[in-house]
Amino acid sequence: MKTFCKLNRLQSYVLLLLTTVGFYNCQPLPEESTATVSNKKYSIEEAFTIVSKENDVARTLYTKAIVGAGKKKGLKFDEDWEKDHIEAGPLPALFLRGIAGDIRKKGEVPLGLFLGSDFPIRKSNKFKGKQAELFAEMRKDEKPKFFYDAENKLYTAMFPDFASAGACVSCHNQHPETTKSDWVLGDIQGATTWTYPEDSVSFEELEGIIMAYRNGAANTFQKYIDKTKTFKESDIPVVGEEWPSGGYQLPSPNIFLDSVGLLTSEETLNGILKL
Amino acid sequence: MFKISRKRKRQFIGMCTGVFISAITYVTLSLPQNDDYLSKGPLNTGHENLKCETCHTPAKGNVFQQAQANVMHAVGLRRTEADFGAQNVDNKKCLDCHDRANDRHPLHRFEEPRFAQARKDLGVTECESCHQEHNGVRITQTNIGYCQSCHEDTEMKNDPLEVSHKELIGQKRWNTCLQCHDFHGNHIFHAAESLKDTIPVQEIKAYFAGGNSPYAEEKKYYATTEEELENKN
Repeated sequence: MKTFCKLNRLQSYVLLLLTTVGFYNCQPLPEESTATVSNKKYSIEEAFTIVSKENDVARTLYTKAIVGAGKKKGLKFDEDWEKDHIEAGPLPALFLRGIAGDIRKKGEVPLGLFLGSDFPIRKSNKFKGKQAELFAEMRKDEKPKFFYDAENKLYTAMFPDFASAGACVSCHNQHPETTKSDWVLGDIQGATTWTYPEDSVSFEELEGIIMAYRNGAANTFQKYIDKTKTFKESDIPVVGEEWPSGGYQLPSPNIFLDSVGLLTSEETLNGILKL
Repeated sequence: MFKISRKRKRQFIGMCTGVFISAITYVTLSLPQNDDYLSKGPLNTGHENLKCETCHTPAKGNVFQQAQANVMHAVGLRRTEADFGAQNVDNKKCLDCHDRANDRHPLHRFEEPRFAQARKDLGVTECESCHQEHNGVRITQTNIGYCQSCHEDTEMKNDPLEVSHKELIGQKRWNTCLQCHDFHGNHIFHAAESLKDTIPVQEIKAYFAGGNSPYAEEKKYYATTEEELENKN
């Protein structure tokens, strides 16, 4: 009987140990994304609209206050700005391309951002298929378009890209490769296309989308400033708190981003609060 | 006293031998010097000295957790699948070492709806569509005229070439694109302005097969090394 009890106790320990090991080994593996369906407070259309407004403000600010004002003070901007021998900053379309690349660089936020047109400078940026159809509609009603790209499994939005500054019109009209030279202020020169793999997002995911865009803008602006430091033939602009309207100078990325935040804060907050 | 039959004895010895051989095989094949026996084929150019785990990183969790997660996913109790054994070798893994600010054709750009045909023709959103690993070459894409998928309308008013781009496209001479331009744009060189100065197609094919770069030896960015990657992680 004693031996039997001893054996039973031993068996119980082994069983307990096996249960503990089994339980530890079979703990559920945490998911990469913790957002659940009930947390998804914003439709992807709402999220696209918020981040698109951020983009409108950032690009207009860059076009007017950096490119437009900077050109008058001697700063140069070029489509080949990334080439070593070109001493210039990014044109607005390439500034956007830089942001789009930065958003995807870390791969944390699966947000896609693209720029196209029916009269692009580079023919490879011309809309085709569904985008061309929707852009034709957009030219008439000036409204954003939303659709699901079934082949790509991506929720997609297109927002009109208006010629909001004189520099947009003059640069495109005078570009040697332009396919249209009669642009006027207020024209829809193209459209930004945004993609995201889900139909709705949580507050955290929306925050991630907005911050991915803002960080992309700051990092692209920083890349421009880094490039100016390699200038050999042109003067290196002073980087600080002042804007190009006051001289041959550039604001720091933080100052630029603060201004974007200041200009977008009301609309972004309204979007988040759904007002 | 139980009497064990000779048949059972033989079965027991057979099982023990099987377990022993399996254990020896498992341990032997796990040794780094025997990686070649597990590999699907020779590693591509530039990857020859990489360790298996550099790309085939062990998946999160243990096998029980991985199996459980996939069962839960199959019955709808989990949103995402879990990697089993090793993490999936996807674009992210390639970009950990090869992501560059100056990439002229970054993968994400082809996610735009208008590139549907290019995705269908070339699979341009996946690195491995052109750089399928374990083939012992640099590029597995054999059609060097692939620029056709997106650049059929190219026309330049200030064309630097003696024969215009439009004319070359009209003649469907798609092989000539790579004779002046490298796809990812990382080599430091100037494109030729005359067709007679362009890179011969044979040299480009040799480069695809693993030969030296005909564009330039010098690059703007170099891939992250295995050591740098380990330090980063």
